[in-house]
Amino acid sequence: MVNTILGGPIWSAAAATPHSKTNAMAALPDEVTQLLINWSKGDQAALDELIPLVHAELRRLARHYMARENPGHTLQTSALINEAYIRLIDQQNMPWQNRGHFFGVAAQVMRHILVDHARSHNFAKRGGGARKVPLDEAMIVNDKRADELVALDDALKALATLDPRKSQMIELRFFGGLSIAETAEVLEISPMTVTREWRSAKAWLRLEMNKT
Amino acid sequence: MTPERWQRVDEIFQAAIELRAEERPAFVERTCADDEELRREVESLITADEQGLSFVDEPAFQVAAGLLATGEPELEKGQSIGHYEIVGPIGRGGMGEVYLAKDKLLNRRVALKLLPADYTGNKDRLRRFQQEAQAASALNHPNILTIYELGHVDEQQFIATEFVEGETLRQHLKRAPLTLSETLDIAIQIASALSAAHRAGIVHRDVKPENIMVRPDGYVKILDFGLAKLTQQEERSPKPIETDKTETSSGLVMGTVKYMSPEQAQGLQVDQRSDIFSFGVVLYEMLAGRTPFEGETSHELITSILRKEPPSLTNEPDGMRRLISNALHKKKEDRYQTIEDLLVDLKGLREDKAVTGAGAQVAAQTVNGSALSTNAAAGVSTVSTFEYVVSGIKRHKTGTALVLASFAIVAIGATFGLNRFGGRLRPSFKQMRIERIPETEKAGGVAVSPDGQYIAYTARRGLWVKRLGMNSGIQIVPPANVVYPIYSPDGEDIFYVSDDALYRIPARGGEAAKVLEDVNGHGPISFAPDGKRFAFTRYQDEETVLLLVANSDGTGERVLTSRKKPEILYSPAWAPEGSLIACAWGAAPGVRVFGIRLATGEEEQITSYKWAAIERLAWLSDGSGLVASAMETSAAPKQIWHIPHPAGEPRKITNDLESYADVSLSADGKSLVTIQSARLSSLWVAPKDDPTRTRSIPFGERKLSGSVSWTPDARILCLVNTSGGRDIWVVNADGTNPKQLTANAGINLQPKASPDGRYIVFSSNRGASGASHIWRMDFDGSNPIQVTQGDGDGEVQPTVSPDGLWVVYSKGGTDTGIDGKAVWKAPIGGGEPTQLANTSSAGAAISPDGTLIACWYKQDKTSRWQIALIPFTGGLPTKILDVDRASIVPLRWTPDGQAISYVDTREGISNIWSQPISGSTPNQLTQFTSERILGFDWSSDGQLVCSRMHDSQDVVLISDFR
Repeated sequence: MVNTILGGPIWSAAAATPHSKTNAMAALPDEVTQLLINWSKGDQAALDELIPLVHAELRRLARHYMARENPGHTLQTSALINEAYIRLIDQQNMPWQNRGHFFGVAAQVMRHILVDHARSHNFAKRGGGARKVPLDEAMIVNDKRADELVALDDALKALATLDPRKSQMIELRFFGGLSIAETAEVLEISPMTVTREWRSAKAWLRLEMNKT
Repeated sequence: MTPERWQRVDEIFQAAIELRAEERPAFVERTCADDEELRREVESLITADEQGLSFVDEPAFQVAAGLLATGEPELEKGQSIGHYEIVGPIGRGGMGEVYLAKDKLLNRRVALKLLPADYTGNKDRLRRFQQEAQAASALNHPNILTIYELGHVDEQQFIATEFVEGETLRQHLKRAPLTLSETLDIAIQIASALSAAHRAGIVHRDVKPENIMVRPDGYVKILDFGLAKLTQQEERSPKPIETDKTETSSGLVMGTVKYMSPEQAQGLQVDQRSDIFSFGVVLYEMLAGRTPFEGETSHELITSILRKEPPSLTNEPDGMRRLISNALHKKKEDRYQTIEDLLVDLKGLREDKAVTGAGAQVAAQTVNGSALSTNAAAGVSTVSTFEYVVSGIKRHKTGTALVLASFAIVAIGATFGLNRFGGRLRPSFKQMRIERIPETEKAGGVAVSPDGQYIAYTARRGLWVKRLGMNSGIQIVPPANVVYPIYSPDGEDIFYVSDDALYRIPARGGEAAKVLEDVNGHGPISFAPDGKRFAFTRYQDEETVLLLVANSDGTGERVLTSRKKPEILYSPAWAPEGSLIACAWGAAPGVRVFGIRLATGEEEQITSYKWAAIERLAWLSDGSGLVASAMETSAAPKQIWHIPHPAGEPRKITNDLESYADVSLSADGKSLVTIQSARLSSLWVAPKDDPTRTRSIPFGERKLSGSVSWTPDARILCLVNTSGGRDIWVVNADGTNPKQLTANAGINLQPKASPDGRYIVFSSNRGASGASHIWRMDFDGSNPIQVTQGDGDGEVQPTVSPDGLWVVYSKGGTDTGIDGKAVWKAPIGGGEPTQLANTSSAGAAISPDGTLIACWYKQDKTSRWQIALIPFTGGLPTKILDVDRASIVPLRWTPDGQAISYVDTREGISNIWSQPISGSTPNQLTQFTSERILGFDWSSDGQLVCSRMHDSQDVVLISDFR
């Protein structure tokens, strides 16, 4: 059961307690690639498999960066997603245009993480005991921010029925941290169009969120 | 609203916002015609748009990243993986979690990296990684991280490596920009590690700042050799080959794209030239502060790596630019073909720099890693000795008189050190490097094994053995008053003395056996070259000391010679030629080295030179001389000396402010281990109005020394010891945000900010002469400019007038016309200096209103030190204040300008006192009950900072010293 390659000392029986590590990310890069291709061809089930994998990778990378960076350092979203892409996707078998799908998935993941957190933050704040929010986490999201995030999520859902592209644009820009140029690349439209539509999407959001 | 309706609203909105604000209402009115609801919707959108920035304009990511990164580490403190007990998380690499752990069997700290199962599933790949990682570690290169164990518990693969304290080059780069010298220093170490690996056929594949650790002592370690093998796709040869599907199709390109070579970015086969390219990128980034290839997306980035030429570096020497461009050729055939070629060029650059390094901008060079700079080597100048003497003053009934005497020693020591040895030292020990061996604090005695791989040292009264390059030592003899360890010439045994008896123990541990009683002289025994006999000294009685030889089993002892008090005889050293034993002999403070012929008992002088004390002697293996730790004068620290044999003048190998005890050489004479005692300081801060409430400021593992002062924005300027000098750092009052301001520029002392926040003035020996002068630099450490150009003697203790125009400082030298130092002033922009006092004076402080200078002052040669207030324009004191004890620590005015504060040291314990200028009784301000104070300062709002001294003792390895 136990093997030491360098011929080091054998472990004591007591110390040999098996350490099983649950690993959420057991997918090989080509599996992720395949899922992404399937999803881009319209296989919605592929997305459900994809999200946890991307989530795990983003989480791993974020922890990696947070651990190495100075405290208080701000992570660059797009850098993180880029890195995840490089790590997860077999670029030789993936047409570049499909990157958009990946970024879309990543931004969705970000949105889920944030909004879920904001909702549970609000829930905890309002006396629900279902999920205890640790102190340091509670500090990450203040009350106002949490309310805004929940309202934004609701508004984006409404926008998605009305104008899916603008909804995705907000998701990519705000949750995915993508630049105008990257958003244009992902949505396959011109940066000019992104700039214009970004403005109306924001105006719409402001109206919608003021309603609630 | 329907999507169609929204589309219409959106169209009109987008057209409207193209117009000027005042034109919009008419346009909307016109376009919406009679559709009232449409008009209202467009108008409210326009209003919303005009409200400006929305919170979605700022990406949500930092929050998301925080959330992503939160979550429990997978292993908790105290949990075990095999025989490793987790101490805490260190970091999380892309390649798995890393923990600080304790090896319970060997009782040492390790870094434990858990490899994620998804990378270790492929057994072939895992095996290849393991082979390569082990092969790299087995190179035993000082700049390659040592792997202790590759193992697994069940399916969990892990790597246990040496634990390196320090930061990654990435963090290092973030903290402060690197100078050319610093870059060269780090780069040469990286290149040398890669060179060793490449020679062994190992390619790193993932050279980037995250994989390079920089230790606080400047040592560089490359991590994760071979790790890329685990994750990388099988490289394609130009013609794709059919193999296992997961191998060929997994195109995962490991490593941050920015550092990839073109061939790597394309997933093509890589060789050592790919490492050369990546190294070129790192080198470029160290100098330029950014990577040569950039892109918003990885696609753009890869395109840039494949096609674009990097922006050229403008501030670097041509040679460096050429070197980088030769490393960054797109085609690997056009690049440096071997890292050795690159290394040679790097070393050449460093030498060029050394030659041309006399200008004000250019720092003194370092040589070979963290070694001494030549300027620093020559630089036991007045200043350095000055500070040393401060810390060395022993308590005396007439404290002030002793301080006075010390001033005199300072002057003598300085002249002596510079004139007698300064010049000759430079060429011969240029390549020397001094490396601190980790975790050997409080070592008492040390010996290096004949093969140079191990050291045996005494600590906490026991005997410890440590493999060089490893972090922790292993205790092989429990606490038993162990002293004087030494290896047998075959390296199999260690001999040591415990309670006046000589013991032998197998070098890797085991049963200790008593060899001989009454081995009670000073110093370890010394073996004959064949290992069959050894020499030792013994006190026969209170009066008589004997030099004896005995067989290695303790039998057949024979007296060679003896000495009676007050003469002493100790530290025998058996010469490699076999027939001569050298000994330290004499009566302190005049100790010599003499030799005794084994066959005839004849005595001969090895050198006519006399030292105040000799601690230890050891022969160089080729018989060309001895190495000694010895004290030149009773005020100087013990240094390592080279004593040539049969002829030649002794000279210092080390020449710095530390003290070196014990000396041991490996059989090839290349490694010298010794124990370095350093005087270190810690910083303490007290809040406004309450100097008794001092608390210590954390400052990492850096070795602080000496003086300290506030900046106008309430940060702290302090000094960090390096192996060759002292660097100025700035740190927040709570210890956060430490930033290095000088690097590889000799000994820099006494930094003081100008009150206008423009400059930092300091004393430095970085100039061509090696003497200390007053320098100034900008607040970020840039633009160092020499302010004063006085003759040979040191110019120290600068402080700036409140109007920012003058630097007041102390200087000695012939043009002062007095013994010791006097207070001078010079324009901060450079220009004619003026002598302000014509008697011994030092440690000046300028009153907050700029009219008076307070300084330590002697009214004439025979009077004691007092505090004098002299006019800023110079001349006789307007007031003399008597205090109990003078000190060389500069004075400071209290922020209200009503009192002078000074350091008062009694029985080795310093406190800060305050002497009102009214002449009333001084008050004690701090309430310390231990340690000396080497420097202090008040901030303008009344906070106190002081640096307090303590001693440390570490084993150091000196190599390339000949």
